[in-house]
Formats: sequence, structure tokens, C-alpha cells
Amino acid sequence: MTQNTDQDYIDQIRSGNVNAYSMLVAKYKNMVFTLALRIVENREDAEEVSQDTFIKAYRKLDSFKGTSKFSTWLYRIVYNTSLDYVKKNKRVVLSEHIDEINESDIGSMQNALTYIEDKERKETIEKALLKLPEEERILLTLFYFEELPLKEISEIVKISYDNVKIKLHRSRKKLFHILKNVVEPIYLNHGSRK
Amino acid sequence: MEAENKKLDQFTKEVMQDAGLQAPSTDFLANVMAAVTHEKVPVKAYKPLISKVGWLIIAALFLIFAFVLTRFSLGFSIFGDWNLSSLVIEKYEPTFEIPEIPATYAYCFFFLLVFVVIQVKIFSKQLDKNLN
Repeated sequence: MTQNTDQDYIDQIRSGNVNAYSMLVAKYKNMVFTLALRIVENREDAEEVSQDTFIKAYRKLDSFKGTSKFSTWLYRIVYNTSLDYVKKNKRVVLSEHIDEINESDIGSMQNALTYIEDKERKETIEKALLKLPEEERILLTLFYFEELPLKEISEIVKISYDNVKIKLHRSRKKLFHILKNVVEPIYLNHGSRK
Repeated sequence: MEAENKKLDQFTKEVMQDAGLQAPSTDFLANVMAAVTHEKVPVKAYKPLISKVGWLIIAALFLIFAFVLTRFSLGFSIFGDWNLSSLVIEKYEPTFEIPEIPATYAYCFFFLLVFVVIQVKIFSKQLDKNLN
């Protein structure tokens, strides 16, 4: 049995089968919602932004040329829609100071994270991510979770390839420092209880 | 330094995989589909580069041009200074017989070709603009 590609679904929608769009929504809803949530920082707003994104994408489907992947095109829409939302609400994110990191620091952080329970660890990482500027959260999500190539990421966030590389490097360091500040007290707390 | 970067890269990957994806509410899909069913189906209507009327006008102009040039003598040649025979390589003798094409038809065909090339360029630009 052959699996339908995104383009197959798009062709079906264009020929009048609106229900084919549900396959695309089902496939990308979690990623779209996560990207929106990591920018707007609120589940209800993220849901609204995600819904808006899918409706916008549907309306613009006739102009989707297929020169880039459907996912790249869709992520660019959610990124822009979320940024517009943030702009309307004029929220400012303070930048994190970056210190040098050494190998032993990373090792001990990995240890500390394993001591935290799954749910708490997920929440801790999510909170740490929210302390980064919006753009950096998205870069990290697209690169490390979605494992997109740098070229596609640069198309989504509309910055140059080299800039993506530099910003990714900087955001890795920032995330590490934020996590260190958050995780160490939890780890010490757990240790003293044992 | 390189080892540290690699380790930090691996650490970030693990952290981001741990964070995973968040899911919207259970009725998210239904809400989106309910919203899009009220929308117009996003079908790009097929529009030919040159419309039927456009082709009729081109054909009419071509026929009028050809008719006027073959039937009526203008008394002078608008291509008087053009000597296309100088473009022919004298030493080349084809082994087959080339049918003789009247100069008027050749010029008509040449101008028609120029018009088509210009129009294709203009229409393709317009099409690109519409798609963007």
C-alpha cells in the first residue's frame, strides 16, 4: 500500500475533497501547536494561533507552489502568526547572560536531569525554554526536535543560514545556563531529602 | 572546545527530545475542519496564458498583415535596407531542395514570433506575480 504524501492531500483538496485537509491537520497539529505555544506562552492563545494558522494555510493553499516542503511553508505561517500575536501584546523577553561552559558541567547537568521525574523534567525544560527569546526557542525546536536542515530553518524564520548557525550555538549555551540555574536547586533538594 | 561543543549539542538534543511536543485540545481537529468547510475550496482556476480572445486578435492581426502585404503594394519597401541574403553562406550548397518562402511571409512569421516571445515573457511574469 502506498502512503499518501502531503502533495497528494493538497491535490485532493484542490480537486474539491475538503476532508483531505484533516489528514494534514492531524499530521501537523502537535508541531504547529508546540511552536505557537513556545512563542505565545499560553495554551489558550496557542490554540487560537494554531487554529488561525491552519485556516490561513487552507485559504492560501491555492498559492502553495510546492517549491518548498508543505511543513516548511506551514511552520513559516505559524511562526509569523505567533509573532504578530506577541507584537500585539508587546511582551519583552529579557536576555540571558552567557558564561563559558566546560565538559564536566554538561556531565553533571545530565546526571541532575536524570534524577528528576519524567513529568517534572518535561515541565522544567519547558519553563527553561520560555526564558529564551522566542526566535531561539523556535530554532532549537526545529533543529533538535524536528531535525530540520539549517537551510529550511532559515527559510522559516527568514534569517540567513550563517545567522541560524550562530544563533543556534548561542541558544544552546543559554538554555544550558538556564537549566543549570533551575535544575541544580531541584537536584540539591532531592538529594537532601534522600 | 570541539569536544565541548559536541557534548553540548548532544545534551541539547536530549533535552529537546525530552521536552517533546505539546498537544492541543481534543476537539482541535474538529474545530479547524468546521472552520474550513465554510471556506471556498482553494482551487486555482486554470487561466491560459493567452485567452481565446487574445488568440483571435493575434490571428486576425496576422491575417490582416499578411493580406495587406501580399495584395497591396506600398510603393516602397519598409525593409529596403535589409539584405538578409548577406547572411547566407555562399559556399554552402544544400543537397536537398529548400522550398522557396516568399519574403513577405518570412517577415510576417518573424514579427509574429517576436510578438509571441514578448507576450510569453509578460504573461509568465504576471503568472509568477499572481502565484506569489
